[in-house]
Amino acid sequence: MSIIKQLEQLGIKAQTDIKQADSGDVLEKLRVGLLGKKGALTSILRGLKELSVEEKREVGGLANRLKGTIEESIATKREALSGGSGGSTIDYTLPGKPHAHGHRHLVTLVMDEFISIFQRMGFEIADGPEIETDHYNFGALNFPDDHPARDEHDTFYVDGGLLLRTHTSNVQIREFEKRTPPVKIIAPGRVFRNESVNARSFCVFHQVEGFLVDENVTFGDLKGALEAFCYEYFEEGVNLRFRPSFFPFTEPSAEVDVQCFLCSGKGCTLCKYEGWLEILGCGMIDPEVFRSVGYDSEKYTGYAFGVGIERMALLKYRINDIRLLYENDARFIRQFR
Amino acid sequence: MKLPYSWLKEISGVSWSADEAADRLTLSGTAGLAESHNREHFKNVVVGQISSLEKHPNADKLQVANVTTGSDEWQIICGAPNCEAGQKVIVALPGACLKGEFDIKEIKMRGVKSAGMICAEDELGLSDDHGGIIVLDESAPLGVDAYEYLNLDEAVIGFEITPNRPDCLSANGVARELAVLDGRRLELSAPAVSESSEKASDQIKVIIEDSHGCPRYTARIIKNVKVGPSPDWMQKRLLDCGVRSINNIVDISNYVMLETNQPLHAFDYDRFGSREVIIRQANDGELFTTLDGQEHKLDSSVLMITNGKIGVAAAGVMGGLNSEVEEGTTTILLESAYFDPSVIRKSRNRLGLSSESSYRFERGIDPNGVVSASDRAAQLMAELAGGEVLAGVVDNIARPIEPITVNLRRSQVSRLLGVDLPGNFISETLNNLGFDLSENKAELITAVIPTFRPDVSREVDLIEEVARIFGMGNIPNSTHNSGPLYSPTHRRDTIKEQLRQIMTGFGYDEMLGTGFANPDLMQKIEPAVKPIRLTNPISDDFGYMRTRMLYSMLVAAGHNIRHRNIDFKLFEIGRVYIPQDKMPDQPYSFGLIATGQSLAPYWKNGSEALDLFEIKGLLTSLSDSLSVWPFVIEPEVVAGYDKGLSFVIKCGTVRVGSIGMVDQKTARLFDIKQKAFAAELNLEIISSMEKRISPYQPLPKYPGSSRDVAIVVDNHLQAEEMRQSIISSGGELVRAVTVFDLFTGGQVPEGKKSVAFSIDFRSSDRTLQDEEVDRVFKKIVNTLVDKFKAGLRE
Ligand SMILES: [Zn+2]
Repeated sequence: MSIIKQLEQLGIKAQTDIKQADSGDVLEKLRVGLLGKKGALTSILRGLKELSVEEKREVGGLANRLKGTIEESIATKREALSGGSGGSTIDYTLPGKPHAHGHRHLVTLVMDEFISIFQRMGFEIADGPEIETDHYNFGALNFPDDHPARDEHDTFYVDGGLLLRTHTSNVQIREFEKRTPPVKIIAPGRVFRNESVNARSFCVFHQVEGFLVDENVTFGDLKGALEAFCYEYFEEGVNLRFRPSFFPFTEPSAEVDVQCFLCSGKGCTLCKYEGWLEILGCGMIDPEVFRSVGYDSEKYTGYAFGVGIERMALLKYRINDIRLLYENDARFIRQFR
Repeated sequence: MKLPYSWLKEISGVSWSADEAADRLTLSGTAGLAESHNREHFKNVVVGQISSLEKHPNADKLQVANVTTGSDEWQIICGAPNCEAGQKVIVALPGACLKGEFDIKEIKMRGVKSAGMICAEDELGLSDDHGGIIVLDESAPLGVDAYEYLNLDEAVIGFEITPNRPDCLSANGVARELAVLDGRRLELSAPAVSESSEKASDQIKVIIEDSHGCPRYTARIIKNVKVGPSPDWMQKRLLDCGVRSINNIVDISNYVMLETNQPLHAFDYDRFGSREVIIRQANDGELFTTLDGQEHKLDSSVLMITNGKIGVAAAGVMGGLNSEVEEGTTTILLESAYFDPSVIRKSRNRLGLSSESSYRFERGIDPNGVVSASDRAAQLMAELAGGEVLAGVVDNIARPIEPITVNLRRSQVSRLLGVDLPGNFISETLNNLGFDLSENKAELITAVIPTFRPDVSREVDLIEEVARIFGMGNIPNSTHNSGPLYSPTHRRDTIKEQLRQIMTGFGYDEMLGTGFANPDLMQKIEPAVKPIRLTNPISDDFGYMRTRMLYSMLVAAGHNIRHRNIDFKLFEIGRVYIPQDKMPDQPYSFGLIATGQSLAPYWKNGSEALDLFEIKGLLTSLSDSLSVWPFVIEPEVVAGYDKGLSFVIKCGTVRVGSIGMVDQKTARLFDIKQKAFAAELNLEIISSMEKRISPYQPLPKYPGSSRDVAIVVDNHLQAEEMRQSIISSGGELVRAVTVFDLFTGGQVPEGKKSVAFSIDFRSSDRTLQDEEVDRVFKKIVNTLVDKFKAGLRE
């Protein structure tokens, strides 16, 4: 066999052996066996002296290239065996340095999401007191004294004849008194209801109330605004339905249902087999409300709506106990971001 | 309220399925949900009879029943205690799938074959009752489908009626809605009563002393009634409405109320105690025992029905024990009246009672429907109780309530709704609703509002009627493009948002307190302020309003520690409530609490316990981020904090909050036994501060250099004092002075501490030479040594 042929075969075998080497030791043995003083390549090259000068040059060049290739392959394989292309020796599985990382409360998260949507729709944010007078919470909003409509609002009273607001609609009256239309405002905030505390109801919750008063505001505009909100919060094209309802401070009044996102309206435990989830109340502001703040209802019309934050949060994360929101267990809070 | 759909169908004449009817009602404002049992769930569920019963050979509590379904025999194992041979029962045979989830198959139980199940109510989904198997009437026919036998295809619609629609609290009212949705006006036929020649007015007089509370009162006399059970059809209908059958007379009053919305009251005429009904306000201190056996002490807010001497009924709320219809009653005095809604509301509040009657009266029934309801009841008492109806209704109208008229400008409909309604839709809808149109022109409609619709009194109410029948979903969506061009953001809202961002960035979790507080604990935390008291609280813990954020912080911390979360940092943005003369002060405030380890343990350098300086450092960052003067702390004893570690926070000269270590005694009241640090800020004060916008500072052109100095001084000396001395003695070249090390013990003598400062020097117009820096540095050091009797450390 010619030396060139021998070299070629050696090269092929060397590559196969290197590939199959499964430890550094095996690799080292291979290296010695090939390139060492008594190695295969060396012994082949020993036969070089019997060749002519030209042959020597040709074979010598080939042998050197082969040596280089083998060395390179061994080095590559060694890196591979030692783990990773970087040849890293640190235990990268150790945890990284913990960085401070807090979590928002679910209620304020959802609330901010709402606020942000309405702000993009041009609503200004306003606020009002939580301990409120009967006038701002009920009277000016067309809840007559001693009317069953008040039963729907289980109210906490405090010493001095004041009450804890049952909705953020008090902000409507307070802002109307300060401004002349156009008025386009949302009032996010905390409200209270004297309801029994259980998994489904709690005595504190949050609301975002929104209202627009101007010339020529219609029920169609209300629908358009709420559809835009729902498309943004749920998803584009989500099915909504407007059901006539009753609130003393709006006429006509409606409740808005969104098609159950869990069962797509087929009926499930989340929607209590109705296929729809009630999400908010709304309507055209009652002329009595305008009268109580001195707006001319022949000139202006307006709409108002109110969304409960907790309900939306519970639905979205399928939380089955509202009390969890106010226990402030860090293990609960840390689930939301 | 529940009504069987068959009843509504019968009155209204619509032909929709129950589900469709319920949907249409819901979308027009009468929220209803039809419920009936799924026929599929009753496949292979039939009537059977237990022909024999033996003990299970291998189980004490089980029995082996042989059940016949007429054509077949089945061996079924049963565990119910009320199981007896001979009973007619409901059996689920192999192939049945109860409630759509539980397959019945032939199985072996403890070695004995069982081919089916003898059912209890809950197993069939009829109720939650699992008291035992259902035992049927002996006459139940064998082998018949249970679904048919139990009439389970009867759909019942459950309604949620809003308080403005009292008319829909009745079958007639809901049927009227159905007819309108079907495009018709419902005409109810008047009940036909055959009367005897004897005149009711000879037997009873009605005197109304309080015409405000009782605008109208009618009485009828029905003689020779036989009190007994009502017929099956009426019992079943009442049951579907959720009303228990009592006897024919009581059932008839309930039935007519459910049908017409008119609450009725049947007195035993012979026990009534006189021949005159006098309606008056109760006297202060008057005693009265209602049907349920409770004695009430009355005052003038209660409207009473009396016999001239004593009370016989609390008007519109509940009858009295003394004149109740009993088994032996033969003559009925039937009351059908209209009481003022707010008077009844006050009465029932005073009595602490409410009833189906008071519920309807306080929402407003039809003052002009009292006679026809009385006629209807009299008709039924004649038909079903064999009564003889005396001629005439004794009808006293003390304050007539007439239908009102309301104008509607057609143009206002589109102005408010944003849609032009088709042709005659408006007038037809109003007519179908029972509103007669005394005027119906191109623009103006005048509608006569029937008295059963007390909710309609204004133009806008008519627009609502039109809108809900047209269908709100059919009103096209639009966009209102006027209104303000932009909406300003208020500083307080920005600050709240910034705080949330910054605090979560610093590793704090956001919490929300309820705002309520336990009065004792609240006063321990803040004895100087008497918290606002709720007059009708849920519980003691929720009895007052918090005056400090610290209260909610401690409640939350206690909860976490009790649940073995011992390392946490929490913050809240919310209000505290401080009593004032009139309206309480309710400033938005910020609170934080931190306890345990500052960060999760890290393998490189372990964990680090929280201390006051961590919170102080955080405050510095907050004031920087909020662009206000730096928050600085000054010692002052603030309630709730440890006296030695209690500070107020100032921003410039203004006091904005407090910071400290929670007083251990206070903390223990909340089950907190570890060190906890807290801070509070008044966000109203901070948001009223001008935002500091500092102009751009050019970046330094020349390099600076720094020197460190460590001095040993008396323990009581404050680092800030020394820092200020360095700044003033160093002059304008000193750019920054930082404390970078502090220690006591070791080589530092008792009573002394070693403080190390790093001082940065820089000039704005030249590169400083070492000699110049050394000169200034030396001056600084000398001043420190002189002024603070400091020893130098190398
Ligand atoms: Zn669903």
